[in-house]
Amino acid sequence: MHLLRWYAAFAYIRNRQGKQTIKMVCRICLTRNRQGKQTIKVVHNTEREENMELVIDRLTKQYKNKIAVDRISLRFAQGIYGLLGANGAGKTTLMRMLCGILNPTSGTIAFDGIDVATEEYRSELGYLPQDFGYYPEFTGKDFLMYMAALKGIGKREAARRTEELLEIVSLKEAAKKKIKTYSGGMKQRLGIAQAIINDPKILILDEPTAGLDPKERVRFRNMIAELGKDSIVILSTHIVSDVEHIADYILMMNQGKLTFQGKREEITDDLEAFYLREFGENEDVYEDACL
Amino acid sequence: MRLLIGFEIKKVLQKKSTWIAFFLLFALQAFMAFAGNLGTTYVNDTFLETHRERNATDRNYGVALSGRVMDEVFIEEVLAANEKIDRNDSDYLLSDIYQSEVRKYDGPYGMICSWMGGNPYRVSADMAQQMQDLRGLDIVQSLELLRKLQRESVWEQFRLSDAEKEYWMQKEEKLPGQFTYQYADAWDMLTDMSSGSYMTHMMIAFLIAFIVGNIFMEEHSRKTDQLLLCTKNGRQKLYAAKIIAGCGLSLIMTLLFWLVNLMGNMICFGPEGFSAAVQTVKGFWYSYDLSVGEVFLIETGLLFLASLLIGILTMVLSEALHNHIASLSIVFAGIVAARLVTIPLSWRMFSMLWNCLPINLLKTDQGFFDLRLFGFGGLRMTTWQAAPVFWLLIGAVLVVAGRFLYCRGQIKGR
Repeated sequence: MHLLRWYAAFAYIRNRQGKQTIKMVCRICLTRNRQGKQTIKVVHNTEREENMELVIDRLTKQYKNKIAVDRISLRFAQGIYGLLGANGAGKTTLMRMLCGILNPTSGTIAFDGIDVATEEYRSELGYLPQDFGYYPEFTGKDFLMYMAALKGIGKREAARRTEELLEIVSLKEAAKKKIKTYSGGMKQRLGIAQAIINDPKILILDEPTAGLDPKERVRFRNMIAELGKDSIVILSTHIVSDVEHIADYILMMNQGKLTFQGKREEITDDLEAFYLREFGENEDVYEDACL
Repeated sequence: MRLLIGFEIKKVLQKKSTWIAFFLLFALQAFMAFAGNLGTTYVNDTFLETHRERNATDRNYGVALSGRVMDEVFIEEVLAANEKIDRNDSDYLLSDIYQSEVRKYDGPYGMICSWMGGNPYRVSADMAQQMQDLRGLDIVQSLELLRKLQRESVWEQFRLSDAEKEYWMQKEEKLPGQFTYQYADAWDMLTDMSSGSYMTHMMIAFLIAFIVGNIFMEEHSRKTDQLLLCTKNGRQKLYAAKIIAGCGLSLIMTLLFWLVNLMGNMICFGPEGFSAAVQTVKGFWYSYDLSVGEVFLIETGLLFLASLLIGILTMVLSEALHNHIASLSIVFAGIVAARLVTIPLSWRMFSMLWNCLPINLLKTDQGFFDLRLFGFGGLRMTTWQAAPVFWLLIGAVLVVAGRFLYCRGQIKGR
């Protein structure tokens, strides 16, 4: 903790001298409270932009005869956005377009005026896909170092950040073990760590709690809640309870269309009941929601 | 960037299949390189010597005669010694006279026979008479005439234009009037189809296609592409890192194969003879003033460039097709086709380009000695001079095309 405070101060001085623009303004660290218990803490830098905005305008994705995403327009500011919808609703397609790995048929995406196709946009992005692979022969540490290099983090900073994140996602003991020996939950935690290694301003999480046990799920939610204070976190899931307690905003998708958007507190009754009511007549949706 | 390149190399080297393929082919290359020293010679079930002993003896005799000008005195000395035995009877190898008086001339004798298009173990030893009968000339004059006839015959086969003939005549003028014998068995082997750069290229091409071709494809098959493509450096820089890693691995593997081949042949036959005129070792009619060692060095450069090209080709193909097996198959099919198919010389440009394929160019007797010239403006280039230019251009086009494909990569379906 002491080291981190010193680091933040150093970054501030450099900025005052005008020699360097500081982009890394929020840090997650592991601290000990007075009782000696470990807790996750996000350290804020007051320079973090208050009015960041991710704007999507009439976003559409069409595959031959099927419209996966249909003219969605949204503005995202800091906070956590829970994106709910049944399988095939278009959540993953929307998220891929937000990550710039799938070109929309029409419409635009921009973060503070920066287009989705640019390197600048990608440098502000953290993404955890729904279903992705690892390099089985890499260790957890190797993998995070590799992802840090891809995200443009210098070697020394990457090593420090890797150590920090491995501890946060409880993989420190397994850091030097090959990923092929990891359980599903461990892999998912590693995936979460890679998504936040660059302190992203836009964090996109597609079914992030899959494979996590209940304890890890709670821990993960707390971490996301902290990150949402300074970033735009878009969390897609069909498990209502994942977003119930942490989302500031709820988005619901069905057949490529946005069927609901609003603040969490606007939904006065139970979110799951609200969700089921929104998709009421569809039994498949009910089954998915109950999973 | 260095960090990314390091990780890309690490990914390849951590695979078991990489090491299995490498060791299998490397062992085969090492075996072929040292094969000259393996084995034993028996004549009619009678032990004569091991190949190691044979090579050592021939080397000593060859080195002792190295530096002698192939003039009338020396050629007559060689032929006179060979008149003492009958090479049609295989028992001559066991005779004392062969071992003590004739064997030491085997090197130059073999050279004279190959100049005459004969085989030293089948042709009778009355060549001196044959040559003297040839328009009543002495041995040296008849050899010169023979060379001229061979050269013109090859020119006819290649259907050279007058300008090309003039080019080669100018090269001819730079050659020494008389060639000098030098023992150069190692360099002969290193430029030979069965054991030289050609064979190394065959093996290394398969290995590169297998190992390097997967650098891009792995990301799609493992579904890691969606992670990479949305990172800051995951497009342009990662593409460059992957290409550099693939090219680096191709060159390192080629270097290892080349080194073991060079070492094996040096150990078996000795390093002497680098500066022997290529006409005294192969291509008696060839007009370029090159030593056999220089030919080997040129082929080495071509070998490394070819490896680079194969590496780039397989990487870009696997990215374009999203299928490693398909890209492997295309490279394999290309190598097999180049090896099996000969384009008629009458299809001039097509057959010239066909000879520019690495596998054909590294076959010294085919592509390297192709006498037809490529013209670029006023510049005339032989096949071995023009082909690297083509390869570099093709490589550059492939790299740019691959970058275009990779950087526009999309994650669909799944």
